[in-house]
Amino acid sequence: MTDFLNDWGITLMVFTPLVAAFAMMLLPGKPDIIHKQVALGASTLTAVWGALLLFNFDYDSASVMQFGVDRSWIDVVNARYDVGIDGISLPLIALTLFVVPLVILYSWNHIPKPGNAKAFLILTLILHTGMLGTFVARDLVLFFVFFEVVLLPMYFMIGVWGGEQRLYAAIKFFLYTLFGSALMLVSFLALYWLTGSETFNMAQLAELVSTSDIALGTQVLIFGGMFMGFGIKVPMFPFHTWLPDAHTQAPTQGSVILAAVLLKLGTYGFIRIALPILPDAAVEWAPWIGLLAVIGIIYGALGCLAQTDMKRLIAFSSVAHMGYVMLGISTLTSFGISAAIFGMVAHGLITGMLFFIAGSVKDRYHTLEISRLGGLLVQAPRMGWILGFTTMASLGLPGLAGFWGEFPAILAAYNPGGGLSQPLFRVYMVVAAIGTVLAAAYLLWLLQRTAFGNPSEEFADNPEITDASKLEYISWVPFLIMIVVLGFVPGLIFDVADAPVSEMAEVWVVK
Amino acid sequence: MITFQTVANPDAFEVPIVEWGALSPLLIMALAPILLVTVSSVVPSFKKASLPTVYTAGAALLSAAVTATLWSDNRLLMDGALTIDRFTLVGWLIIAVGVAAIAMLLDNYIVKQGYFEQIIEWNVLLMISAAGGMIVVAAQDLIVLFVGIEVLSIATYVLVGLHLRKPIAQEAAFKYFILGAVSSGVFAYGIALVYGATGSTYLSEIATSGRNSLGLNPVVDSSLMLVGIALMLGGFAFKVGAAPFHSWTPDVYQGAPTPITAYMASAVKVAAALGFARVMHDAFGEFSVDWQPLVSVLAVLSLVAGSFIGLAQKNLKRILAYSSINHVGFILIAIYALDEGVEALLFYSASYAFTVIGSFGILMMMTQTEPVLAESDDEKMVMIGANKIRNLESADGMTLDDLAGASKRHPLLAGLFAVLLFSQAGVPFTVGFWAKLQAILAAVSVEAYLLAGFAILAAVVAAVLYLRIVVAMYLKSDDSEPARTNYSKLSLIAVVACVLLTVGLGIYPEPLSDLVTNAGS
Repeated sequence: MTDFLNDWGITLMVFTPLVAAFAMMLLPGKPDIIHKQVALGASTLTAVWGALLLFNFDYDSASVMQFGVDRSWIDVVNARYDVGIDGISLPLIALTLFVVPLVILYSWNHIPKPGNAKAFLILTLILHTGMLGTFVARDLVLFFVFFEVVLLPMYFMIGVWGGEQRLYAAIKFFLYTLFGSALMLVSFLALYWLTGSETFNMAQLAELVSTSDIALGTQVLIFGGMFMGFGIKVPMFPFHTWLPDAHTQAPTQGSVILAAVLLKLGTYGFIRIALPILPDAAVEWAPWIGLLAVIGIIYGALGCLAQTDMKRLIAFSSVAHMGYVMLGISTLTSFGISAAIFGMVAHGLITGMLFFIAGSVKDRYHTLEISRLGGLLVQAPRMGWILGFTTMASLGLPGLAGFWGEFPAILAAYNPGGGLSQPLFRVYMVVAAIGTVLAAAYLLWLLQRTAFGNPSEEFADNPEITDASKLEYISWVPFLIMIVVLGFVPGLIFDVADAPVSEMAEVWVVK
Repeated sequence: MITFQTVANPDAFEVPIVEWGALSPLLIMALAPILLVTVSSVVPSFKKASLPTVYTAGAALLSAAVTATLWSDNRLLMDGALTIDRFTLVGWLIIAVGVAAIAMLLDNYIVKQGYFEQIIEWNVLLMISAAGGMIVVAAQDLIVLFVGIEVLSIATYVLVGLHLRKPIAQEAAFKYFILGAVSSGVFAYGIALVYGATGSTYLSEIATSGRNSLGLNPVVDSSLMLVGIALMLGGFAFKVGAAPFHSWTPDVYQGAPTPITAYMASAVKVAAALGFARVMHDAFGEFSVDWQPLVSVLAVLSLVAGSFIGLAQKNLKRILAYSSINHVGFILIAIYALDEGVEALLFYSASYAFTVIGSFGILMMMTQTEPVLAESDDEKMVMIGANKIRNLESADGMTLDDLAGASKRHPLLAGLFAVLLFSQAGVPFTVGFWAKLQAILAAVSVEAYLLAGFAILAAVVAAVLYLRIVVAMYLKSDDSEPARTNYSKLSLIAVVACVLLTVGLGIYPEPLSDLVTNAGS
């Protein structure tokens, strides 16, 4: 079994959704139910492969790439099919495996207009493959390919099944990301040529960079290219403007996947590629990344307070939360980066859940205008308390997952690594801490105006407004459970991520 | 090797050995049209339904198959006038397979446009032109190259204007002919100057009589040579449609019958590009410092013009024309990179050829609706059989707006089109991604970072170009019902094959990259 998993585990996990997507293309479009079953079955099977990998993962040596497969793929460009899992990618793979089946389950009776479950679910499955592939890739070209693959399904998801402004949002999303990844690709190629490497293997490139004599200025430029690629995806201030549009216009499922997993591709890229390969350039960039991160925190929070649309508010809160993740990364300490990894998972669960709620509210009220909503706890008590619970988690209440993403990141800024300026990062720390207060403000404000009080006259006797259906419940409860579990047992992630992160952060430990 | 001295003495003249076997792909392509003309005029019943199409496609595929059997050959033919090596063979393969696909696209088009009587002519001209293209790819001698280019071009001029009822096609043919003739003149002048400087028209002899071994007066001869190179470069740039010699492209591509546009954008362009690369590398390799800057300027201008001006277009055929100018930019980058770029050049040419054939093919098929019987006598009518048919729609005037809702009217075609467009945009898991990546890698490997940067940025801008088409098809919804289209099965087969290649080679490009490895000589 272990041999089998070593050779085939990752490949099966990554490509099961894609194979299912191809199979679905061959099936007739009607009835929908077949496609839903196939899609759910495929994503469950993927989760099973993933679970087998997680069980057989050797947690005592989490810093080592496990289940690695390294085969030649495209010899002309020396790109290899080179995949593996370590303690950094494992939590994110688990997150993806967890979220996608629930999203598909939610789609059972929530296929957005204009329908066509077949196409919608095929896109979801292609996204699944793209996201998993990005998290397992050890080869830069392979990484890039998967990183790009997620673009198109999401573009179509927004563009076809989105809201009023879907065209604008879809193209904005596509172009922003494509532009960033073009610069990222230049950086990858530059690394490859300047190091004279024989492969695009990340670990090998990191080693070659450390032994070669590439000028620091060049390294800083290369890091800059990656920064554009990953930073736009995160998104960092000032490249965040695609995010509110994309989130607001995307269908619920699209928003959930976007928030839960897609944004993490950017932060993951920083941790997996940019920092380990170019540790010296990272030191040069860290103060600026930290600065943009705290601007993002404050700007996102203030942006939230100015929103009148529930989904847009949640989108801006994403900008703020990803700011904490980036702040954690910019401290260049194992503590901060571990916090970032935790923050990624926590934000994925919590914000994903918030978007689910927003989607269901929209289904019932046909609006997300905060001023028109109200009294959710009266009209739909279950949805009301889930919204309350999730906002609590989102504002970082201790005991829930959100806390462990934010608090350690702030704490890590107290004492940054790599010889970074302590006073500067302590200023960042204070500003970030103020951000948590603002977060409490906008989230509680949201909760008050939507859940408390009495339903507005407009919707008071509307029969469409029902409580969470059984199906919604089934697809939401796992999220809630995980938020609590991670809140009480944060070690689940910290323990896994600790070894590889510490190993990576060793270069920045000030001696 | 023949020199002019030996010709002066007829006794010493040796008839060069003709390598029939190695020449057979070219001979098949050149003789098949002659046979077709003969047979069809003797046996009138040959002009039946799809028979000429099947004949042409069959001959082209036979030529391709024979090309494949020669795979490991590498020698000079016809006393050094032609050469077959991997480079030639890949070029032949692209042209031959391209012709087969074009013939299949032409199949129904000719009938639908009311030219069934001339079906033989279309096919014959297509094959003759392709034979010229195959000569261009294999030529080792500038005169032979020139003959090849003329055969290729003249047949194409006629093909462009063969749609007699369409003024726009006539205009395109005229424009293409006049400009093409001028560029041929410029090119021939370039050959003359190079001959004057070196005393030879053989590429290999030109190369060895390079800068250091010119004649007694290196200054004069060297400048003759440089002017000659520049003129030839201009001629080639016209043929491949590189900016700033591109201005004919949008007009001609729009006006030409759509399958012929596909032919010009694929086989003609690839033949010219490969001939271009061969001459520049083999004959003028020693002068690369002189011509490389020019090629890089052409590349940058093509990238910029193709993507930016393309954005301002509404007409679909013009958009695709500008997109092909953008592709030329990438091809020129590969040529710029000399030996490092040969594999990229072939990979790009091959993948570009079938992507673009498929794209134009789909455009044509989308407009092939059921013929409408004419109700009154007006000038727009066409006689098809015994029926008076209203002038049929064609893709020439199709704009982005006309595509709105195409995903509902033509679900299959729209899906296939989207794949091809993504490939042209360079999206991963399509062959276009690997093609662009290789071209950029080639540029980086010769340290042309600026060129690589331009290419990447132009690719992003060009992505908008393709995305707009996809947006029009999928996201601008209207309440269209599936339309009754009337394209031939053969066209569909050709287009589906293009799409399968695009995706298949996108996921696993190894077969194509194996094909083009070791092509550099």
